[in-house]
Amino acid sequence: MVLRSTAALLLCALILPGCLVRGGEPVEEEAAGPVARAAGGPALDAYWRDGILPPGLEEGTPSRGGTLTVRINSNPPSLTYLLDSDGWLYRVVMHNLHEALVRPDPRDHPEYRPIPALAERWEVSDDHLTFTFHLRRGVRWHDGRPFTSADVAFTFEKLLDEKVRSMHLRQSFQDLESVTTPDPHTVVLRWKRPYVWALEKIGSLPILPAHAFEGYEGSKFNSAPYHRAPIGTGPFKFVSWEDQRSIVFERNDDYWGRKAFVDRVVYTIIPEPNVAQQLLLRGEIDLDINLTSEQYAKLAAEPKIVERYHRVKYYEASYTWIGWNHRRPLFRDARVRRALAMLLDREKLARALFEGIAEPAHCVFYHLGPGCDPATRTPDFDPDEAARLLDEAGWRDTDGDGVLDKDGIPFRFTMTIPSGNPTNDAMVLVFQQQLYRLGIEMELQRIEWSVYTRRLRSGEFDACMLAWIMDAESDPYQLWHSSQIDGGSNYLAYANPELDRLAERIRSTFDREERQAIFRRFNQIVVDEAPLLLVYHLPRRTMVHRRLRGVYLSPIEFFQVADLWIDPAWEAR
Amino acid sequence: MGTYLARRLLLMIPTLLGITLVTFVVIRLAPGDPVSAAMGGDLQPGAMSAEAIEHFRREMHLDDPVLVQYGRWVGRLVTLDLGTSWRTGRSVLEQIAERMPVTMGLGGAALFFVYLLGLPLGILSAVKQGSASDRISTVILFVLYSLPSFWVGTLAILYLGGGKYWDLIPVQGLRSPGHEEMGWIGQALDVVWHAATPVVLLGYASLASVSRYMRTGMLEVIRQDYIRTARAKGLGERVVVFKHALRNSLIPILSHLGLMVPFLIGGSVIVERLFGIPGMGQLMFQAILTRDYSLIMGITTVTAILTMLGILITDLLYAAVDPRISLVEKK
Repeated sequence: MVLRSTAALLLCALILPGCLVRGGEPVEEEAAGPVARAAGGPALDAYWRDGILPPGLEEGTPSRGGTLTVRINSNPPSLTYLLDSDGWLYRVVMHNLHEALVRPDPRDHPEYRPIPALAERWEVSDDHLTFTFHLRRGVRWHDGRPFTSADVAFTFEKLLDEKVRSMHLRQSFQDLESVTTPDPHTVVLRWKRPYVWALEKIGSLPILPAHAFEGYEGSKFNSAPYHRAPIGTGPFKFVSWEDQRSIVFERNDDYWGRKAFVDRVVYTIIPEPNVAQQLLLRGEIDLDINLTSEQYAKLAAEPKIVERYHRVKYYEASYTWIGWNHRRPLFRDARVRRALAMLLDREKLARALFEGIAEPAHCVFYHLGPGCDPATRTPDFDPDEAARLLDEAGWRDTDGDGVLDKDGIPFRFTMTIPSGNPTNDAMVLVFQQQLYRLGIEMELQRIEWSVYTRRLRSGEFDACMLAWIMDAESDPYQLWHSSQIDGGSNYLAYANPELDRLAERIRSTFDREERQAIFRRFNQIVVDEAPLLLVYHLPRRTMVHRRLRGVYLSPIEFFQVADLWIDPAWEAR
Repeated sequence: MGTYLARRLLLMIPTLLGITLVTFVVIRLAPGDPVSAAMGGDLQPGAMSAEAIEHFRREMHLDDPVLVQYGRWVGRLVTLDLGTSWRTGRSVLEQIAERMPVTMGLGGAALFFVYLLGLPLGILSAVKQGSASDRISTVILFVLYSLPSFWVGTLAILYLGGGKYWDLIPVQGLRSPGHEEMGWIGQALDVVWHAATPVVLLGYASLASVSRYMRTGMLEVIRQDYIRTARAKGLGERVVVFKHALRNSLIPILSHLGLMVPFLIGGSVIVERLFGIPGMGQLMFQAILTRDYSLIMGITTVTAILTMLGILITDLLYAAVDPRISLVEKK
């Protein structure tokens, strides 16, 4: 499971496959002619209106050549995932250059089960403790050196090395007992105890070339020149990286698998949305995955955009939430928490702040995956019912000062949010007003991100707001288990014995179906007990140039750049 | 002169220690630390386990007393080692060396144009004090002074940057995509073309202050006796103004120049971000947001040294323009 600042979430944006899902139900769209017209704008077809890809983009004969331009909105600190916690960068950029032993199948939405990559096949022992990987033969690094099991052993050694800045990945491998390499094409991993997502975690670990780090032992590894000019085994090779400007890859013609179609990929680094918009209007960007909600809506009125781009929105595994600090007596009563949840008008806010594309959240796992039961719903906006619940819980205004109180304590608390995100500010202000009408005083405190996360960890807040970005199937242990209150990520200090039991059980449930049932049960308890207020799922907002073919959505795994080709006939049309 | 220079240069050492000590203590007293700041990207919650943070703090020596940490930092500085950036793993000096020329180039060009336009405007205002042209230029300059550059920059990008309206200016970076394939003349023109808008944005607000300084300086000089004498002996107005008055009225401009040195080195976060320019402003801004201590300290040190050198040069120039100031100790 991964965490991202809500600020970053709104600034950045990511992806989805096959059919787009709305309100939990797949929406089948008929092919349609012009059906809508934005005020004074060009005719829009149903695909544009609903933000889905038209069918048939994967058909046709691929053609080689050309340069693909992808906009990214921030300059990464380095290009090695082992050192940088930005998993998003890895999915968008680096997985075209680096490869892991296995990879999530980008066409397997919404489950993304592992398929072979650098390992051709593997066996898992019956006790789930021993994984034997048979490496693909004849794979070469971009500098021509052969890829062997020594590289795999090296990568794991660095991952577990205390001196290497890989804390963010190390946690998932803490139960790894040993890595052995009986021969150059075999790697055996042994675990101390069974871990259900072991293979997924292995799939998230890009293998590094041991020979590129000679002379960079110990903590020198962290500043090796490799991290700015990496070599990998993937379908693209590194060409250049200029800070704040671009990262350039070219096709690896010696790739072991099917070779990529385009000659070059340029990831152009443009933090400023207005600049990106200008380049879109000029048609200079092939993929922009970081549109703002406003751009997503307003660009529909630009004929130059509509004729050149497909507009797409899709949901990765993420949700925004407002959390109650359970160390505070104020939030101990589930009725009070449910009442608070009924006071946030998510439908209205989605329309007012996100142009109607944010979806009210009902699940703490990937809402499009099998772990979420569409029948489990968080309560709708309902101030009357909220007032009734609060009254039932004993909160009444007995001293006539306009603020609810109970046992002489007024209902007052502070909501702490990261600064610099106007959309969140607006949302919290609306919430504040609604609470005020019922006699609850919520004070707002905006603080800088690095201070904010520190407060979360130390529990110095009453209420907070955050967005989680997760894997397709994510381990609830670190976020929900009561053992994770001190030192883990259970920032809200919420302890529920039933959730503890389920979180433990899920880690050793190897049957997929059975696991999904536990996920659903888990979410039902979260929705009933309302330890946090589920706010919304915000989709990634994307423009895909119409000249691109081989396009399919893979919301969690981004677009597969190696599968895309440029239609030479497009300009002529 | 030699002893003066030596004394000034030696005085820079305690000043530098003072500046860096204050910065060092302040950034460590500020809430938040690099670990917390790192949570901005995707992060496994496990990375923030108490254990991982503990380990990190130990590795960075963040739990030592601040003065001990400062002592260690100064010890490395003496060997000209500014350390490596925690976030990127790159040498601090290397990162600064990469950004400084860009920032100084843009800042220098901006300053050049500001003086090129601002000085004549100031002289004109002074010579024709109270005239319509004086008033109009004053109003225009003050309007410019009041326009925030992020707003003007955004308007420029939206209206002049192609797309919906006019396609007059490049909007991203300092080079076109095909830059590498151009000849050297083409490359130079390409950079100038890209730098034009940022340079204007960096400079326009300073036009007001430069022309005001010039105007005040000129007015003061022009009323003096020797100017009246010059006029009385029948010299033309042009000669009076440019030959006799100008040099003396430039002295206030010199102090203005001294004030501009930090701007020249520090860069502008806003303009750099708007136009995607890799300069010092963005580097420092990022460093502060991510609490990249060694990078913050490195930039502070380099900026402080260059600023002090800039002020020293200004002072030497004073002596050159104003014969009343002498740097040679009187015997």
